[in-house]
Amino acid sequence: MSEIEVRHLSKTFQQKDLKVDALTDINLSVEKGDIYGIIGMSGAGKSTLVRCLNFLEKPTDGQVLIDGQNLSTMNEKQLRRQRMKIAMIFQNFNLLSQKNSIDNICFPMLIQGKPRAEAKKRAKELLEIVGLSEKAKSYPSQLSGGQKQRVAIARALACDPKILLCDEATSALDPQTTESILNLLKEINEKMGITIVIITHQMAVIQKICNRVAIIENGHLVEDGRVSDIFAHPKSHAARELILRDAHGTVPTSAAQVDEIRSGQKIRIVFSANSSFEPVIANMILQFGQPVNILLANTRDVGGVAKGEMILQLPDDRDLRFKMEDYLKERGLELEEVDD
Amino acid sequence: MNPNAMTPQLWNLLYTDTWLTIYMVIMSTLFGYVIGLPLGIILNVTDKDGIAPNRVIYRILDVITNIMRSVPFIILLMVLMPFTKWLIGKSYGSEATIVALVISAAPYISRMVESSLDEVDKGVIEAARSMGANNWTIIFRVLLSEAKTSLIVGATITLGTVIGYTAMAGSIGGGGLGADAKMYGYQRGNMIFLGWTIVILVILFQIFQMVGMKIAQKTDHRK
Repeated sequence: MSEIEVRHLSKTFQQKDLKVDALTDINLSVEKGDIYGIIGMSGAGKSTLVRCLNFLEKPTDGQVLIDGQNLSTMNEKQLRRQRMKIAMIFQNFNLLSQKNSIDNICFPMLIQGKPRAEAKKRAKELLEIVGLSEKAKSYPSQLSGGQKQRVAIARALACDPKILLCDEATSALDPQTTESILNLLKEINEKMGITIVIITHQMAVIQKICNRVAIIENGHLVEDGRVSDIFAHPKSHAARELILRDAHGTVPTSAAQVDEIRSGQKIRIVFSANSSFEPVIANMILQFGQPVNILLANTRDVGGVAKGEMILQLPDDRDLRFKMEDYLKERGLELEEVDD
Repeated sequence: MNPNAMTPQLWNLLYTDTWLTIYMVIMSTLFGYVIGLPLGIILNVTDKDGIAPNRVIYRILDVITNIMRSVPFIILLMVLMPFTKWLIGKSYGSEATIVALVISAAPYISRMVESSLDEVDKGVIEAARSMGANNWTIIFRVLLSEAKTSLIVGATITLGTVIGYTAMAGSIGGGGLGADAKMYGYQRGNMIFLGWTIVILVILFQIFQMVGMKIAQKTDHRK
């Protein structure tokens, strides 16, 4: 049984006489122990989707099953009890500004009726797990963004959740802090066996820690599967867009360059670990006696495996181009046309 | 006899009525909050962006609050006389003033409370909901606690306003410094005495203001 199962979920917002379809017929399942990424551009509906997983937003249609239990059939009280097992962290941390770290972490435990002394003890342990023992008495305003998110994570873990939902949890953080928070999440997933769902607009986050991913575009789930598969063969337009956009994010690129890469006879090649030994591109140029233009080359860490990525501009000659593509395919490279 | 003379009796009067004024201000603000605080909470909670939106309840309280607030205090005092008489048996004196002050301060306080609670970050409320908090928990442990500083500032402003109202009430049958200023200062032409009542009211105002702001600062951990 899946830890989270979403069936035919739709959500429509009614604004006066305007109907907005935020999500349309979403189906996905998250297995126990997964780090499941949900990625999309802003406004794609991913934040609404994650709020449907704990029914902070009630879907207009469809079902959400947590451990086989249907949230739609629960009353408010049952839902609140269910939410205690589904923790959530946020882009803006959402800590209580008038309470210090320890009291913030105690908060969910006190809601659940745990005795204060016991809650304090557990809060101290959690603060140690997230590496912030020395900040026990600090108020959120005295903490950096990364430290606030660590306190928020400790607070999320306070009630031993089975699932942790992360809503753009690293979007307000700089790259280094993002990295350390992601490492912490991975550690939590591995050591405590907590299933994690991550909402993000950054492909880098997905690559770094997720094993599965769903891509959301305009409220539709356009593609889902293993991260390594989707990175190598993105089928949907949205997936390609996200992978490409993120590649450009690693080096400063002008808008004109992006346009150039997006149009014309371009192919994107992905090298897996073993294909990087042979100098494929150099050999191809020698064989055909025709230069190709390397528009982008990059190495990325996808789920701990180094993957090379390259965007080539091939000659305009159709026949020659097909021959070159065949040449590359014969050498076991993943390639696809980039033509938006 | 010099009309401006400060006799020992007048000094004595100033002394006892200063305490009477403090008593009236504090009691009316206190009872004002007994009514205004829950009212403000209900207004905030039932508003369309609140945690338990309810159009009907919100509209009813909204209209009542607005009507009460738009009646000038001095007129409210007169209108309330029969009610006050029914409630406490007389329509003059410091107790009667307190009744009128409470009724006029409560809607003012409820608006203050409503807007203080409005300042609480919606994200924090959502976080509490995601932890399985019910509305009562959110009201008492999130809204009131997060808005603490702003609520104290509001109470301080209210105290200041109520001091002014007390003096006004004093002049039409209430007790305290306002009544003294009118009877012994204005009507007998004792300008020195009148001056003293002003000085004392200003000092009272400053003390309330200073203490209130100090407490507000102490409780503020937002920055």
